[in-house]
Amino acid sequence: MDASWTRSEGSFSSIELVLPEQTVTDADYDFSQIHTYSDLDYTTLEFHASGSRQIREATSLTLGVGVIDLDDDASWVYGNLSGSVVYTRAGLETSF
Amino acid sequence: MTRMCRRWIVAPLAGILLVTAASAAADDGSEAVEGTVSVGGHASDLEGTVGKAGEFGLYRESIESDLRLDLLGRSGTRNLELRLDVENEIDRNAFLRVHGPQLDVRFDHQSFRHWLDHDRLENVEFREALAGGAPGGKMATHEDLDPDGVYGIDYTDTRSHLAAQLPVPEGTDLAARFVADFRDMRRQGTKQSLGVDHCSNCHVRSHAGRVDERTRDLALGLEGEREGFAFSYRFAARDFDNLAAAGTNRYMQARHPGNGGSEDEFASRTIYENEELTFGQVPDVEKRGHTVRASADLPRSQSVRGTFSMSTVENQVTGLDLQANAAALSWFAPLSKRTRVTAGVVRRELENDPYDVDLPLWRDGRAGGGQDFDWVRESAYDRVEWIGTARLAHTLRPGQNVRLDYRFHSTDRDNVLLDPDSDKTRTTRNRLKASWSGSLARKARSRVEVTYEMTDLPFVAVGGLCEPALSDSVMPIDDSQPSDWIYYFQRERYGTGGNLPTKALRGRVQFDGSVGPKLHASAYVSASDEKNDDLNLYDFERSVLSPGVSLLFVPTEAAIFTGGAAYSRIESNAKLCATVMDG
Repeated sequence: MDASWTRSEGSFSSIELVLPEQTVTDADYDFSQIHTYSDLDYTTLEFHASGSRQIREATSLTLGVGVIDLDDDASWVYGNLSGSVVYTRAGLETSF
Repeated sequence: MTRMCRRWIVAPLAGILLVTAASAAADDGSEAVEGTVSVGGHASDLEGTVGKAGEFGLYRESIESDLRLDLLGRSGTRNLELRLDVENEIDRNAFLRVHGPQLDVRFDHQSFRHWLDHDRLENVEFREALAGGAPGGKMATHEDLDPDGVYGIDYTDTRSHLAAQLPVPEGTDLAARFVADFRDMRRQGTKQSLGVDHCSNCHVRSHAGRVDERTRDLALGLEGEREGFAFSYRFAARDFDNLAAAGTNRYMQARHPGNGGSEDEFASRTIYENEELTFGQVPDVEKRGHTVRASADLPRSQSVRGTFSMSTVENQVTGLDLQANAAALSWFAPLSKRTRVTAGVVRRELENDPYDVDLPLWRDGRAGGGQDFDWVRESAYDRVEWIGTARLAHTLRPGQNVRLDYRFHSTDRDNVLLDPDSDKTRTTRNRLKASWSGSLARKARSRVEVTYEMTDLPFVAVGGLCEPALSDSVMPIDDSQPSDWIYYFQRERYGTGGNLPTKALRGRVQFDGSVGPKLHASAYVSASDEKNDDLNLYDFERSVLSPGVSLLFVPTEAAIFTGGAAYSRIESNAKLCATVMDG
């Protein structure tokens, strides 16, 4: 059995823009928000577990389960990437 | 390499695999076979966007069967390993190895689905507003022709390896081996393909693009060694084939972006317009190369090692060649029981074919037009590099070491200007690093590193930034033009842009320690201070601070807990000159 939790964040501080003394005609540019366009904030949770029970000599029933969950708290150009996968597995194992 | 040639090489390799796998189970006295096989089924429950959470893998909500096999065999001195893991038609792994005293054969296959992103392009949508609110001509727009597209690549990587001992004359201490490696990689699926137009790139159009690429590598080599001397030769061939047709993009009719008129004038400034053309074409590429290595032991525990390699890469569409060769020599010597020194030198050379860029005459037939802007693209790859390294390592006492490293790196690029005031093309970097590592206590170790680097003429973009306002100073080319016409090619950028330092100071401290037998901790902090004060418009500065910590806790034999955190802060500056279109 194993589990992990990961939190990843990235951001820019506000950009200090020093304008020149002389500008050409109208230069009405607003850079006050561009530092917010690339924020990243992900939280990932993963869990995997498996077990087996012997039913006969050299034969076992196996069962496994896994969870992968991602929370996207700062959507970027790719849209909201939040999603989850829960998988289960059952099988018969023989040793020889 | 022809397809027939590849078949003749792969077939004997496959034959050897089958023969050795069968003979591994031969009745040869001591033999054993053991393993496990598992047959089962699996299913997944999916929610939201699965492409990132399950980025590598094909998860489905339907029930699918799977197979796992582990097999170990032994027959005398030969061993067999076989592993199979089949999850579905895409996610599969297979490994086979048969090895003995004279032969080592390996086969490895893995394949999986990799989900890709889909850029929504929603940030590419603006248009200027003139005084009074009327729409202006400066804009950036987008359209997505496949808005619901979910893109992914099926990746397949198959490798086989053969190493066979060769017969040698009796009575010699010579050992010789023949080595062969073959690798076949395939990428098939779909990806997002972006076409840009609206004169240059002010309209972005997203398409679903097909991917079908195959890379095949073949390497053949001979290795030999005898006491104190080793030698090897290796031939390598790579074929990259693009098997997918290129997509097409519709390029708009060129016209004034504000009033929609002046079609003839705007069309005279573009190479193509009002037609559908292929884009994003990936060329087939062939690479052939040779590598020779040799190493020798010298008196007093010294050793020397040398390598020479040469290769040619050819673009099968354009016929352009990139030729590379490199030579390296290194020497190792212990000066005393506690001191050792290593030194090395590398020379690398790259030469890329030039390319003739043939353009139609600019504004052909129009007043003030007819200029010929044909030019020869000389490659920025062309260069000669020299790298020299030296290291002195000394043990102060058991568990305490100091090391001094020096590195010299010279890069002479034939076709890249590095200084606006001269024709110099050589970047020279000197780096000196001092480090200490040692035990602070019985179960604690530490390491400290300090590096100082000086670079003369780092890579920059000469004339890459900022242009003066010309609206009241540009002169017409001849008297036939109105004096207020602006011609793009008359503009002159004067700023040099760069983000590589001329001086850099970097440091790192790391600590590793154990608290009892169950808890282990590591912590580090690295910092750097860099600047380039040789630029003409600004002084570039960058500082980085990165601390981190990790813990490992083993409370019992059956459980392990790990945790960690890393933080990084980067501060830097740049010059920004906003572009202005058409005056």
